[in-house]
Amino acid sequence: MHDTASLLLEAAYNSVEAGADEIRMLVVLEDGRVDARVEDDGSYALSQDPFQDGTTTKGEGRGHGLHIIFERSEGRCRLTRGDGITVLEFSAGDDGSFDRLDEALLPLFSMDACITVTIRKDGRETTVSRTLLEERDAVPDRAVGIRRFRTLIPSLAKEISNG
Amino acid sequence: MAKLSLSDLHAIREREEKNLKKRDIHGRQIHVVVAMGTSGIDKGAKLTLNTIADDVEKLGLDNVIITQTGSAAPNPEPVVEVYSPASGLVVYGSVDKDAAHRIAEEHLKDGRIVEDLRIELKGKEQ
Repeated sequence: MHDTASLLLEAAYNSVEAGADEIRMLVVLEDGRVDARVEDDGSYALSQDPFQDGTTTKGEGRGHGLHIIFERSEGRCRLTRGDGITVLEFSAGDDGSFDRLDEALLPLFSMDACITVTIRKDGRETTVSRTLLEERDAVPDRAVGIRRFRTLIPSLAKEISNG
Repeated sequence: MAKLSLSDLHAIREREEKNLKKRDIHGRQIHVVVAMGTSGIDKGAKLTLNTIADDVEKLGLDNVIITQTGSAAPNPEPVVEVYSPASGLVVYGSVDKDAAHRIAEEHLKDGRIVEDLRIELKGKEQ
């Protein structure tokens, strides 16, 4: 079962598979909902209904990720493309999967991809990027990086909770 | 030849340390790959990845690098692959939280394959 945070992972995989060099995510946690916007510069062949189950250019057995986003967001999602940028937006219920921000973000940042995630909550926001993690030796793919990641992300989360 | 200043030397050392670190990552002895495609996530691969990451950190396994890959269907997911010089490639299936703890403790730390979790990898979907 996909929690809401996992929908970001699905979006990131789509971006990576589309050859994106850069993926930018904005996650707004407000009023019991998670509104997400994922932008990337990948190269897509968009179909008429990309959210339909099994719609893919990647081969048999693929193409379920966007459909899961459609289902979990109860249709509150859209995919647009312009000026070489693809934007996926969705809105889903806050199921608590962002409560432990480090657990929610670790799978994203253990991917070898240039990802930037901005979390906005109650008007305050914090940004985590692959570049920041590399600078702080906190990429969560080995013991020391995981340790630093587990310390860094909660401290950033505290900032947006406490102001 | 122009003399290097102290700040030049610091800059060179910093750059070379970063390069060494990059090489070190690729030269790690044990490589853990968690299959995180749609079907894997659906079966709990996010928890599996977080659990293995926690254990690698808590057990101080500095020789391990963790990465991820896409779907491992039709294998029983979550699927975790472990590559090590001693055992080669070992694939584990249905790796829930408890299984992830065992893999970290027994295979990654102690070098013993967890035979009852081991599976033969069937061809991945493309």
